[in-house]
Amino acid sequence: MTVKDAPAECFEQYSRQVYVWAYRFLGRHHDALDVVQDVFLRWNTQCADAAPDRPYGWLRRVTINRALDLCKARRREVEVDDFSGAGQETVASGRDPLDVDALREDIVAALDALSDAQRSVLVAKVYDGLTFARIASELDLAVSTVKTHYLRAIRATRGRLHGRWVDL
Amino acid sequence: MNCDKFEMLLADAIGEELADTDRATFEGHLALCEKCREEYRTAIATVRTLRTLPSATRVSSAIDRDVALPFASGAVKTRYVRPWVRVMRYAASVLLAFTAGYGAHGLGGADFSSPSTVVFQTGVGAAERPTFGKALAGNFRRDRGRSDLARGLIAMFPSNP
Repeated sequence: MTVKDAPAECFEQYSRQVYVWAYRFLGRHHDALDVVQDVFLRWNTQCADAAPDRPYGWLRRVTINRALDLCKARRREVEVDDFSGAGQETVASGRDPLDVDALREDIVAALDALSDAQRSVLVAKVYDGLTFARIASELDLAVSTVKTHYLRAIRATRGRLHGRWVDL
Repeated sequence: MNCDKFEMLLADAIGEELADTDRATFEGHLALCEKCREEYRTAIATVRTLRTLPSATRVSSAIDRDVALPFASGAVKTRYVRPWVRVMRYAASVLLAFTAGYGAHGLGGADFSSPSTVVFQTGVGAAERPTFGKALAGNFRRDRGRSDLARGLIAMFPSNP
């Protein structure tokens, strides 16, 4: 059974991971669910043409891009945060909730400034804890290229977070 | 080891994949070169900062409750309803019951006594429930006012067509 033949199974298998990625950058339960919904609609459209060879990598890339888009759109909107649910579902990080929101915004802005490949590598390494070899296999790149992307991503992110969050 | 060789090992070190055979060389250079030491320290601090971003917990329950709802086997699960919504619903049903009662009394002939005359259908039968693929393959577009897939799909495939 291929992924293309079984969208429901694909959804069952990856929906939680997609939610985790989205939630980390959005910090709101319902926004994360929006992204889960969008990503799997895109997945289905994509599978109608050709199912991606590496669904995990494809889903991560699309999820993060979609989450960043939503963050940018959200920044442009004046809206009232209802604090329902999202705050209850965060792991205590030792930071003030307002600090976490500000940190999230800065990290999202930093990630947004990266190239697609740098962003994918950084998230896979920092948040998913994958090895360079695994990331290289997922992205169909050489391991040395993945390491280069990682270092550049770290440096660019450090520049963005300079002083405010990273103790330099 | 020079700074170029250090650069090649830096990604491994930050990514916690530094081989034991390279560790001594790497740390030896760190001890000697202040510029590389600073590079390493700030890179580690950046990764640490990135990792402080809170992750989600109780994901399974959130997904099961809100996204996988239309595809769940068995009966459709109920969503959490805020207390004030429950009160409003209850008040509306009481009002409706009184209105219907007065209407029936006015007509003088309606019989609501038989328990089999009213059936409350609470979910879609397993055979009628759309599969995820069918649901996604339709023309469903996300309603921005509603934030989750479950509500959108339930609106598409109501339990009482």
